[in-house]
Amino acid sequence: MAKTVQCELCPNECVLEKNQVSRCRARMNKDGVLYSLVYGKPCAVHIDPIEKKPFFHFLPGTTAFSIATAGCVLSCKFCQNWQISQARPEDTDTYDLPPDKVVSQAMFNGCRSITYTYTEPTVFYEYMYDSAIIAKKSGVKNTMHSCGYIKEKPLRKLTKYLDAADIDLKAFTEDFYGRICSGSLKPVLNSLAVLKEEGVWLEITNLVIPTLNDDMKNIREMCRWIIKNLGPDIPVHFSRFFPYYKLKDLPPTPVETLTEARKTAMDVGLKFAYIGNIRHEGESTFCPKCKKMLIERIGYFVKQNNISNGKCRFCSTSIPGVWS
Amino acid sequence: MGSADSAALPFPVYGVDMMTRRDFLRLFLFGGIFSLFGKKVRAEKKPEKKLKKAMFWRKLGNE
Repeated sequence: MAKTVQCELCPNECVLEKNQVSRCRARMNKDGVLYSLVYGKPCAVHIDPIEKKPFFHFLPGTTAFSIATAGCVLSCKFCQNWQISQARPEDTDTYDLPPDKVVSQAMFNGCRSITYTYTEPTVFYEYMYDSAIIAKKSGVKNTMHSCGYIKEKPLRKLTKYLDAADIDLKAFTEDFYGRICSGSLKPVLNSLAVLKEEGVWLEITNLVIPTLNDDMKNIREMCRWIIKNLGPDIPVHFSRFFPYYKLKDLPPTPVETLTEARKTAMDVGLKFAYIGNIRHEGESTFCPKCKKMLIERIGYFVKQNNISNGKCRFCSTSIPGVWS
Repeated sequence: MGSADSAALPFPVYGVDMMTRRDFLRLFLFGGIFSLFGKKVRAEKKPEKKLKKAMFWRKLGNE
């Protein structure tokens, strides 16, 4: 057992002997000390519309400097970025981009925020954390798109610098998380509650996969949990699944399923339910009071924005979100 | 490319199929002699970056 370490970053809690690499492939025990293998070495660097993350109530119409390194804490069979999330760092082409350069590049390119995304930002926690500190000092906002599979202590530490989070709530059953993602649901629900408690702007994405998590009963139960524990103002995105990675035999999610999920969420009481990965009216934001269109989106682009000072331009209802 | 009888070159330029053994040997020796005068340049090795220590972990059973 000499020089054995245990990672305490995510619920996997990998126990690593000397020279062993963690399940996420991004950490290694070198001579009794745990090191990050991906610090400052992103394999994906892009400038994206913030709507792509997706964030619909956070600085709409702006761009996000988006970075990711190789690795993931889960192994979802439907992963849409599996080429990098399920890869070892040494198998990806990386850039040399230390935290200060992440921020300077974001500012140089006119991005209002940095998004830690594509794979699972928890695996590059130290890189994200250091970048977030510099970004905050420089007036650049920090956001992440995560599966929420992280332990409470590191998450709380990160929230001091985090402005917004989009959490993948992949399903609402332990069975799905265990069988399809090799993880568990409970830590994700806990992360959602922590983020809400710490005042981080929160949005939720649910990828609706035919036959696996498209049962409206479960979706209704999930939405009820969200309302009860996080409030009815949390935007929920029902995203369309496309056959990728190990689930190539399933068809793309039918539009009817997505519209039904959205309707179910709104019937239960969620004020902002969206449809994603498809061109549809359900991509736009409507005022929960006067029902007029507030933000018209076409794909990732904002066509019109009728929110002024955080309020509906037509009836002055406050719209939750970060608008400036 | 200069013509075969170019005066600017110290040896005639042929196509590969026209090069004799003697020409090849001469060229080979020229190259060898020139390389002796060349300055030796060592490829600069980038200093290996230190790995970043992880933030959340603990040692097990090391006592």
